[in-house]
Amino acid sequence: MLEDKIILGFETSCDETAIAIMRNDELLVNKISSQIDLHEKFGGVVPEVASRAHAEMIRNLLHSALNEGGVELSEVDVVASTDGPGLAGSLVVGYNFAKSIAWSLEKPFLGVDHMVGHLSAPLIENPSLKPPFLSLLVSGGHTQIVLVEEWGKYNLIGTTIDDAAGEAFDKLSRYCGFGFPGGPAIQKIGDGGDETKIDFPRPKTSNKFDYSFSGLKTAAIYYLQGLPDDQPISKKDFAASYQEAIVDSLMSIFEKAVKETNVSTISGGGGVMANSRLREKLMIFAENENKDLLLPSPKLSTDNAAMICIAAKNNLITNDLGLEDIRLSSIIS
Amino acid sequence: MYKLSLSTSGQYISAAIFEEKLVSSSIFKSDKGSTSLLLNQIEELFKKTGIKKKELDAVYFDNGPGYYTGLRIGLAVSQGICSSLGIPIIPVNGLDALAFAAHTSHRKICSIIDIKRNEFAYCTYNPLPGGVAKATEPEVITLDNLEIKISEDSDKKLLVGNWDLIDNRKILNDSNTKLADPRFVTAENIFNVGERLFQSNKYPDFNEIQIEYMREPDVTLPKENLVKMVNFYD
Ligand SMILES: [Zn+2]
Repeated sequence: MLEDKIILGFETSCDETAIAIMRNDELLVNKISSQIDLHEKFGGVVPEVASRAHAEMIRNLLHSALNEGGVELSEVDVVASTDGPGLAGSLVVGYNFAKSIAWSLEKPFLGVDHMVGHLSAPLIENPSLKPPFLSLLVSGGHTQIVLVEEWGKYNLIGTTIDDAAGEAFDKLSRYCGFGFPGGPAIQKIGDGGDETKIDFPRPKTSNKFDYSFSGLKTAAIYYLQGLPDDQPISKKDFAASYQEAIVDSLMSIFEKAVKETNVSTISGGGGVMANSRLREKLMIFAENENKDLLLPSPKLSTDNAAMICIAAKNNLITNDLGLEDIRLSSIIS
Repeated sequence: MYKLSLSTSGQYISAAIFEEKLVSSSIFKSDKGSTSLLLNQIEELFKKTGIKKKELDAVYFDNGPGYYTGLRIGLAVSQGICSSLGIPIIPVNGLDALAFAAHTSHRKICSIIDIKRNEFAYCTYNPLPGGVAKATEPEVITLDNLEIKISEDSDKKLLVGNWDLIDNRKILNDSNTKLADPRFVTAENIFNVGERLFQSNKYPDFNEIQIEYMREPDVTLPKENLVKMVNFYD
């Protein structure tokens, strides 16, 4: 029933305006209009700046996505959009735009949870991904370990009690003037540096699968403030050591969760999953423990709308919904 | 053929369908979150009237000033509908719409729209036969400055818009000032101005439609932003 159907997906939960088009299993278009330039000078995402930019960009982005895919709006069969969680002022733009397109075209509309989007993203490149699997979702807004028991049944077994992993990168990067977003900036500066140079703390939390990153950022700032004037530290080594501390923390708790849940497949997503050190460590771990590792490529790890298309499609397939079913149930909510 | 008109810039969210005259309209007071129900409100109007989406000729929308989230929802919904149906969007300024609605007055018309944080968007107009002409440029004004503005000359004035949110006796009781309707922008006010813009082709290209925020975005810089002198070597 989904053969030869075209899904148009929208994602505007944070600072990326994203639109994708899928036909069957083929990702025809995956457009992302990044707002990095707008937020760079603030060293972080400014919600009001982000929602203004979404409102200004989304219509033109749709136009170029349709052009690029050679698709007419009237050919679209299903419209999907992130409906949360995220920045409220940003979400409303994509969600209302998408829903009013569905309404005008009299096509079914599906709201998709952003995290379910990340969980489903590996399906684009690896349609063989099947639950149960354990996913590590890490970005500037979330740090979660999710046990996907089956599609639709998501068990959050670990999360951060303070800052997200991406925030730990962003905040230190802002302090040091390394650039925004912090993750890629610190990775680049630390490339080739000695990651064992500084032994930053690996914080513990009371729940064994929970994360904490605010102490790490503070420790790094104290470290810099405590440096004697005549003993500067290598920027490379400092960045590499900081990155290593974040990646180590992410890995050690995730590894524990993998062992305890005894899943055979592991996955991940979110902006920090584009970090090559984290990917490398996950690969080594998967190989040693003989687990299947199905990660989305870096481009599909960061926020995008292709993951919204695939999550919508996967939802229709696993719940065996026909397009008529959702047309009845979801255009008005 | 029909036109859809929307206003989402304030406390009252309204939608209306017009042919030459009003066919049907609805209005509700928005509370937090309810602005995302605009599309449901529109759907109800179409259901009630039996009008088909394909019979729409244009969408008129209130492009501000006013509450940011509401304005963005109005823009997103207008753009979604117009992109899908291939029809034009006509943005209408809310201050203009309020003043136009009061154009039969002989007084100077002062349009006031709440933009939160104790500030108002403000613009004055002179009534003309069949319309209004801007007497000043629109500006963002605090209550104190509004008080000064209103009492600085002895012109007879008509206040329209969100004057009911003004908690200042001096403005409200000024002997030269008359408090009048409309008290807020409605889809009908928007239509009355939008229809003229549409008929005379005075509306921007689809890609050039902007919301009139009248204020720069609120940016509170996190305190970590203060870049310290860091003792690095490369
Ligand atoms: Zn995300």
